[in-house]
Amino acid sequence: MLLLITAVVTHLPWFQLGNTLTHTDWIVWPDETARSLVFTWTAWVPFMNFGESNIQMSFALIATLWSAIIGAGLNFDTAVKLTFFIPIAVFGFVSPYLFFRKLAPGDGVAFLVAIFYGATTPFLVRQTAHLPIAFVYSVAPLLLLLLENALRRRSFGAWLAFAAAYIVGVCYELRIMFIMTFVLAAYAAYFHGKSLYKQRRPLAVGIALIIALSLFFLLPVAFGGFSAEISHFAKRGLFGEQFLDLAHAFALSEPFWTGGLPDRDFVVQPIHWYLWLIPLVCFSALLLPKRTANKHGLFFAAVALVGILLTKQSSVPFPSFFAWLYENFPGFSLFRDGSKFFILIALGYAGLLHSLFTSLAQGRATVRKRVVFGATAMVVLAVAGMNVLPLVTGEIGTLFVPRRMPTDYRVMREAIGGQEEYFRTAWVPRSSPWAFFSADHPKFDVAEAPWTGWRLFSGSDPTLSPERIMAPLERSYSDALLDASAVKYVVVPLRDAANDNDFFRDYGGHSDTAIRDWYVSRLQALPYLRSADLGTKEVAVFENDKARSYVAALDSVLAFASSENLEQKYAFATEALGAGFDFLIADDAKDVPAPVVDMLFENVSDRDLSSRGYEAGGETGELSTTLHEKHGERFFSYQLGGGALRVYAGRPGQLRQAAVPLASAAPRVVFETAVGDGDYVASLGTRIIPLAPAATPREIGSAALPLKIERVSPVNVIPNPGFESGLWSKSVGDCNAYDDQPVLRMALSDRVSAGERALELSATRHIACTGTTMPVAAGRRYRLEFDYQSDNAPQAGYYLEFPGSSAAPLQGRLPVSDTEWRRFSRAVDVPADASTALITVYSYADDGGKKEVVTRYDSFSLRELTPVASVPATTTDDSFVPLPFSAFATAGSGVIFTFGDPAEPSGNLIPNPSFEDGLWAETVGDCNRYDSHGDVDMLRTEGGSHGRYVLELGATKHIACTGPTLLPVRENSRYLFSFAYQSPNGLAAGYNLGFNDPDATVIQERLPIGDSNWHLLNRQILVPAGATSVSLTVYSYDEGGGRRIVTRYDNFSLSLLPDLFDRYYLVSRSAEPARLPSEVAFETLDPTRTLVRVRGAGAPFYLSLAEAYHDGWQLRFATADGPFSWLPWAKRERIGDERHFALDGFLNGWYVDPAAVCADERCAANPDGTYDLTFVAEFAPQRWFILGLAISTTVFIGSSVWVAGAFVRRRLKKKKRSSSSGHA
Amino acid sequence: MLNPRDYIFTFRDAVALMRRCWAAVRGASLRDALGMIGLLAVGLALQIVFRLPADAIGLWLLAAAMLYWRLDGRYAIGVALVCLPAFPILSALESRKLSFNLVSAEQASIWAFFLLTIGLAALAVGRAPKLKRTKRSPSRSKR
Repeated sequence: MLLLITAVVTHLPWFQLGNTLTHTDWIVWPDETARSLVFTWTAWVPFMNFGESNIQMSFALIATLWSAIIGAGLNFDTAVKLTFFIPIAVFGFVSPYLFFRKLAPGDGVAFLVAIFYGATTPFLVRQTAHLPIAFVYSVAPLLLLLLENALRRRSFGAWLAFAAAYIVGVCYELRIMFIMTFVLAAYAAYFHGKSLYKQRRPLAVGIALIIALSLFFLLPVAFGGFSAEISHFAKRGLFGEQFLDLAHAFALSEPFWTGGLPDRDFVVQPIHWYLWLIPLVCFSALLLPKRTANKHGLFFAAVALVGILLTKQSSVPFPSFFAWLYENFPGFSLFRDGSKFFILIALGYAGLLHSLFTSLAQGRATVRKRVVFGATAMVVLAVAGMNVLPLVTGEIGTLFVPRRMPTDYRVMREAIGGQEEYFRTAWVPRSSPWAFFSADHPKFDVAEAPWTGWRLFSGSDPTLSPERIMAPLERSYSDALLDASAVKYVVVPLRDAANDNDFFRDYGGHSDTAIRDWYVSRLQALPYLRSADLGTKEVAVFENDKARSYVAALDSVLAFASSENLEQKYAFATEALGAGFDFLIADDAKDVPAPVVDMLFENVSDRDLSSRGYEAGGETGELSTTLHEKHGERFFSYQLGGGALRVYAGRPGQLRQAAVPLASAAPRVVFETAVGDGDYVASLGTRIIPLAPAATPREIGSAALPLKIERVSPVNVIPNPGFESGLWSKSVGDCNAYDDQPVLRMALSDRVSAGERALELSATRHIACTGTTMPVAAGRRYRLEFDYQSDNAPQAGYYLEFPGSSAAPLQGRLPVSDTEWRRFSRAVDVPADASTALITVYSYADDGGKKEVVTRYDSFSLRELTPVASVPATTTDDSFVPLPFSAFATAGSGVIFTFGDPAEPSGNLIPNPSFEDGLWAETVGDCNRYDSHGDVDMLRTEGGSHGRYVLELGATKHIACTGPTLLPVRENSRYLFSFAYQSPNGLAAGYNLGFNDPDATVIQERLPIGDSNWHLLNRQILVPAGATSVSLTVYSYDEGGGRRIVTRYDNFSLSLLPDLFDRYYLVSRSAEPARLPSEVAFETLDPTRTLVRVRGAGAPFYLSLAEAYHDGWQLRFATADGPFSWLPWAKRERIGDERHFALDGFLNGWYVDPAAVCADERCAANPDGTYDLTFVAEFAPQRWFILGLAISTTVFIGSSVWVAGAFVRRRLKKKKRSSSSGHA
Repeated sequence: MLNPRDYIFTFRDAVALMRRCWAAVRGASLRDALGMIGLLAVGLALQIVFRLPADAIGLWLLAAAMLYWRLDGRYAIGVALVCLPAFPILSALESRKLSFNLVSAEQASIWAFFLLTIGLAALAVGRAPKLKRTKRSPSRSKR
């Protein structure tokens, strides 16, 4: 009773049935959704995102309980209280009490142990968000008790009780039960090892019962094709090694336990001093004299030490042990981190405490014994009291504070739940715990897009930055994507600080307090969305009014060779073919007739470069093949000469087929003017392109910005621009005076780009700088130019400011990749309130402070630009034009195209690409310096794919990284980037390309490595507007466990590509065009079955189902079912798997050809020659669930009846015996 | 009455341990001599071949000695219980930059873990013959 009171007092809100408890992952299920779970918790979970196969089938038991409780007139809050909150609170204290009282009689001792067990910090932290784990934690001692009973009594009933409890535990949390299985087995072997053989029959019955009762989730997992999902889930790699160590494990101190609200920012908390008393007291049980030390103490000490060894994860000692188990021990890959093993320490310490107290309580009660017992008990009670104090005061927050649903979510619940048609709601950045969802109205968290069906549309940025989150909604095809995804509403939830639920902080809110407004404003700017009035006041709701039906017929699906460059392909499909968004990725294993769209030169690499130019192959179709060229209206060229300047739009054709040039549309003149003497430039934004006289048109490049033609003033406003009159200042400036020990120098140099002198700045410590002022005209435009050079600096730099003006200064760091002079040039718009400008240039010391870094500058120029003409970008749209295509290739065969003039391969921008001249840097970088214990290294070793040497990065702890100097690049240009990589023991290689554009664009990737072979990365890189340089970094990632992860790199290349990307498309058709049937109707039977009726199908068509693609989905004919047709192996007439494809890369699609499939009497033929077809779209693994459920239920009911019958028979026999003895 | 000597590692226990060590050296049997030579060889091998640090070699040798001579595992556990509270104390000193170079907090916790493991193993081994004897004396069990 005292324990129950303790449970209630410490968990008071959990026993109040009228309140709602929610926090982070623990969401509030709508009552109506939870009520239907008995029917909807199936092998396919339809509620979130795009649905997924149910690898947690075992939760069906709890889902059924929720349904039953809500069906009985209660609500979801009560259902979770009865199935989670109250059992955890009660069993957390009662279950250890019952077990340890069973081990050795003594209420007081069992009480003390129970108080300790129920108040450990890992258990309390689990109670703040991860209730399934907390539940198994709470019932773990009860499982030991039931096993002890079963082993002692050897009765069928006892084994049934144990098996049922075990299965219930599995249904709540499989992973913790995996750990408990080993504890239970060890317990049985250690304490009952000798008698196990004698009771092999009841033991076998017990094991058979567990297996039989598990079949309802084992069968679909084993035979339903879920192994890939489970493997994917299990092989996510280790996580959080920096959070766990030996000290936290010993002290049984959860790393994020603060003594109040648990830390949510992954900051490891210091261990409270009093928690150290617990291991001291517990392990002192092993000091008991041998005669009193009992068997239990040794067993639980071993459990605790194993728990400590596993919980500390990759910390010393044995840092590799956890990683080894993760890789090699069956089932251990379910544990990404060691925190789940705290349960072993808690159980072990509880057993040791019990052993200690029992020994002290045994024998004669002396004063000294009482004192020791009392003092120890006080320590245990005091520590437990300190731990549960924040629960009583409410300081722990989280699930211990009742929450109130904001009115807006209540309004939304009614507005969305009241609509009958199927649709999804997309939540930006993610859904609120109060968000309504159901099987008919799933919710979709846009921030989760990279890990759901939208991974193709999310880009390569794996972070949770707001820009990345918004990206899939802001693409050219986003409107069509939302339609295909059946998204009707896009919702921005509240920053719900009142409920301590401001998750925006994880999605940009840390740095931007107005981040929610930012998301709303970005959505408001989307043309395909309109504000919707669902009655909410603060929750922003937008409507997409063209959401596709759950089941729909399509007449246009294109086959793409790859899933990359979808924006360009979408533009081509809509503009050139008049098609829609829907596509499939060509797959040899499938046979889905669809027009094949081949973007020529999409995956061009160095290997495609021959002496004739870049080569690309394509397939010709059996019915027709067409070639399309993007005319390139935004591609400009010019011709200056004869007193005239002409600007052309459009690209000259450079495509050949078998050496025969293919005629393409000629560039057209978009601007022509007479010009006099002087210099002219074309400018695109800040980029300046000097126009030189030429007899034939010369390239300017592609432009998304207006193209300006400007005349350059002959007057240079910079005084002493070539340092022929001396230096700009008397002494060198210190532009980074972080201490009083600068080592800087400035002089005139005779190494010049022009004239006889140049500026030479050198820095050994700090940054050397100098500058000069000049007059400028307010509001006018200028061209800034200067030369720079260095023998040993990785970069030069400049800073241009306008004294007295409020405008931001202009600055930049300029890559130095060789010892040649480079000319920097850019346009400068002088602010309206500026009259002078001050330019400063720098020489940067390196980090070590040991090397003198010398940077030279020369030939400065700041000249005014006078506008001559402007060609607005908006008037020059690109367009696709058919290219006359000689079909001398045989239909159905390959054809080769060649692009370019006789090959002039552009130079490799990366210096020392194969490390034949040494490493890129003297020291290795640490790119994840979260503490001072990094262990990274860098070598140059022999071997590799090219030349003699390779770069070898080693990471034992943290991330090793290195890179070359800054690389100069040209904005809006495409580069071919490639390198070779290899690792003998790592899971991934990785690179990062960081551009110096205003948005600081980053391109980064982790490249999975599954073997020890060399792999080649080949990427086309588009340099963002405004970028002039890029930094390259490559990595070796540590994987925990103290192993040195080796990642090798070789043969880097970054070279400019000619203008061939997104320019040519080959479209081949091999089947008759699809045509929509007259009508498609559907009826959802349950989440795994939908009845589809198609009428008037006279030609092939595509059928879409708005659930995530899975091989388990089948489209079968709704023919008459036999009595055993529900069995998983029953034969079903259906559309073949080769016609089932991933529509748009993530949804289910089938190609249905009525003429081919309507054999026998499966379809109804209409007089007009069309067919009516009736299908069932079915998720087949559900049949395994039904079969397993039937067996499990039968076994449970049969066993229960048998046990009840035995009980009654025993009672009757007893009664009869007592009555007959009474007679006697 | 509970004798504290039975419960905690006292000065008397330490003296007894030293006497036992001395007695072991003085009156070493062939088995003891072989054991000591073996320990010496193992220690050298750990140092020369595996290049283990001194404390690791000490722990391995302690484990081997305790199991070989069936020493009372409580000795190791007693030392472990000294190492355990050393962790928070040394951590506090380290955070105030008052650490001694002799031993770090992390090292103390590692010693505690190994000593507990060794002590537990010794206790478990110490129980094994007792169980066997109990099994082989049915007359006693009958009584």
